[in-house]
Amino acid sequence: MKIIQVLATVSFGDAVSNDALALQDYLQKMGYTTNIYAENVDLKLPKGLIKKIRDLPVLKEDDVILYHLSTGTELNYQVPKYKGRKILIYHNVTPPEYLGPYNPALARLCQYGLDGARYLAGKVDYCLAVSEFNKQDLMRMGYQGTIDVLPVLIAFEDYKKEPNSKIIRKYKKAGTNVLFTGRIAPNKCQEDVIAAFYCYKKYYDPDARLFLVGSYLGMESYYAKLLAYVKELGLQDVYFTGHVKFDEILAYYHIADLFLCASEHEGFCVPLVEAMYFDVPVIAYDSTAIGSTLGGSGVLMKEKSPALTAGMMNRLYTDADLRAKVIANQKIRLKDFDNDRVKEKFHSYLKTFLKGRNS
Amino acid sequence: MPEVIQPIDVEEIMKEIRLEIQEKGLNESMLSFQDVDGGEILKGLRNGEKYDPGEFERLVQQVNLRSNVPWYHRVEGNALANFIKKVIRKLIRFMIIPVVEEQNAFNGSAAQCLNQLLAYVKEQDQKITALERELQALREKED
Repeated sequence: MKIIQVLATVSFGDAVSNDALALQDYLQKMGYTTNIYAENVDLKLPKGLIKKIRDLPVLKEDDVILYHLSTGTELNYQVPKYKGRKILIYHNVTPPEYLGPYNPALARLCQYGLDGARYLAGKVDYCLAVSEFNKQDLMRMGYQGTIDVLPVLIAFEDYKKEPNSKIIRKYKKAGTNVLFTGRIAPNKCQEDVIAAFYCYKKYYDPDARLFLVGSYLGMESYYAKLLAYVKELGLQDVYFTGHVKFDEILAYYHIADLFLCASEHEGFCVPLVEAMYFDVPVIAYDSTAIGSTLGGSGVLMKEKSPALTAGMMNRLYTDADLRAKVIANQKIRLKDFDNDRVKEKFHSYLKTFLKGRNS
Repeated sequence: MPEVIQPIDVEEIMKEIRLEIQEKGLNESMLSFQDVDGGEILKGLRNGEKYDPGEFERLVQQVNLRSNVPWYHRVEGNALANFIKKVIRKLIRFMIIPVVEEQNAFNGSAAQCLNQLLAYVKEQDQKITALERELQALREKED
């Protein structure tokens, strides 16, 4: 029996790809014959690590396909045709209405992804959702079988690498360093982070800096609007880093005093876990999977008011007790994402599935 | 005993912050994002006025990932629309496939070209950094 993984794209540094690679490693360790097949493979990945979907061998009825769904692709319609038992790993798809005004092609791709997710309802044998929110999403789309929640596997070992010293030297100084990491994208609402930072800088800490770390590729018009917003607000010390190297991301977490997330759509939100890892207290707007990923840690805000958020940022930065409590809670929550725990959970779900009890 | 998350009363803190905002008379009104026009900045971005190495690398990565365009697309709609679209797809495939293949050949060459360019930029970057270090060392020696 083989257990293979199928996904649209495997690229360097992407959360879904990292999850698939970590699962592959674990499946190999468990002694299964396994491979990853994808439509698109990043050239930066070692040759032969990922196979092209066109090389997918004929599968047998007892083989297992782990299909990662996160975007619009023809695979969403092809996978049910393959032989073998199918497990859907649902990472969620960004709602197209956020992307439409800025990138209609990307919005269409996401719509195609959501249509594909709906199409797959009833055509897979079992589902794993990376968050409780994703599980609810699948149920809303008509999935009726067993759906279990399995967080993504995060490569924590990589976070121990050396951070970029230039960035640390440059910004580790007086003034609050506020951080948000993630693609520049309208569903992530970087404008709300900027608005809160504007109030924070104006009323609480004039020396504060805001780092918006993430690529704006494909979202140039949204990025341009954000730049114009910063300019028209007359706001200083807002840094859009664009796509950065891994050691630079590490450096931004090292210098961060607060992690501020205003995102309105997340299927999981790995950066929240990264902030937990680096002991950066999180303030996040309560939407989609954010609450379940924080799991009672961090500071979850029910409303989006720039002044209130700025007040909360000030409280979290200046109130040592509150800060310590938030960081302690985050440390506890972080343990739930421990790779061994997640792998153990995966193993137990897989065992039950193979015995035919949770399909 | 397993460690337990200590609940934080966010609503209570919010109440205090609201009061603080009221007492200090902080002005909550500000420019709305909706009223901003990024058109001019966008023009500059599209004209490539500023070189961004990280974005360049990511762009090349995306070109590599998306350079091969499939000609086949699934059709959507009700049974009749589906049937008509399938017939149209069949009728035009003799035209579409060669065009897509031509385009994919071009995309492949363009992607290769960009890979070469990126490799060259990185190589030059390393050379410049090494030369800068040498220069710095020589200056320090002189001083």
